[in-house]
Amino acid sequence: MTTPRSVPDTRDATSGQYPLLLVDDDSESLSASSRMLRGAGYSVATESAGDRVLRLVRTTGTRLVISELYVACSEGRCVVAVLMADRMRLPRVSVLVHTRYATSTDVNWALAAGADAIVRKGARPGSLVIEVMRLLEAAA
Amino acid sequence: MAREDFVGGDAAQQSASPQGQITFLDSYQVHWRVFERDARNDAGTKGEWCLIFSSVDTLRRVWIYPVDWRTLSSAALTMLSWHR
Repeated sequence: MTTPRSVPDTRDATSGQYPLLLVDDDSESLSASSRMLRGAGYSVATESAGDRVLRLVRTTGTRLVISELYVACSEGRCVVAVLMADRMRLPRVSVLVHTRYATSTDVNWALAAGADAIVRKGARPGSLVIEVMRLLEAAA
Repeated sequence: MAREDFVGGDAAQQSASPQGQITFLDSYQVHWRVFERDARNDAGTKGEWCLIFSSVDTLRRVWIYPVDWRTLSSAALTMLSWHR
C-alpha cells in the first residue's frame, strides 16, 4: 500500500475542534476504528446518530467524515449522500466510507452517494489510516 | 486464489468507460484496477467523469487526471491515486 508520507497530527489548534468525525451505528466497530485512528495520532470525534452528524458537520470545522454506509438521518437513508449533496455549502468536507457492505451494489451506491474513498472493514492493517492521510493531505 | 479487487466485475463493467480499464502493481505489490466512472449523477459531482482506483480493500476516487492516464507508469499512477 502506498504510504509516502508520515502521519500528521490533525488537531486544529486554532479552533480546538476535531476535524475528523467517525460515524458508525455499530458501537463495537466505532470503538475499534476510533482506537485505530487515535493510535495513529489523529484526534477523532465519534457519532452514531445521523442527524447529529449533519449538525456537527454543518456547524463545526469537520474536514473528513469517516462513515459506515447506511447510517440514516431524517433527511435520507444515507447520511453520506445527504452530506455530499450539500457539497456547495460544504466544499471542504471529504467523505470516506468505511463499511462492512462491500457488494458491487453497495460500492456503486457509495460512489453515487459521493464518497471520495471506500475502505472495506476488515481490510489489511493500516488501510484506513492511509486513506485518512491521503484525503487530508489532498485537501490541504 | 487471489481475491477479487474491491469493485466486483459487474460494477466495473457498469461504470467503466468504453475505452476500458487498466491494472498495475504499486511498489508494495498491491494490485490496482483503474477505470473511469460516469459521475454525472453522483452526489456532489465535480465533473462528468472521475477515475476510480480499486484494490482488494480500498477504493479511491480521483477527479482531476490527464487524458492519457492509461499510458502512465505504475509509479505515476500511484502518485495520481494519491490526489483527489
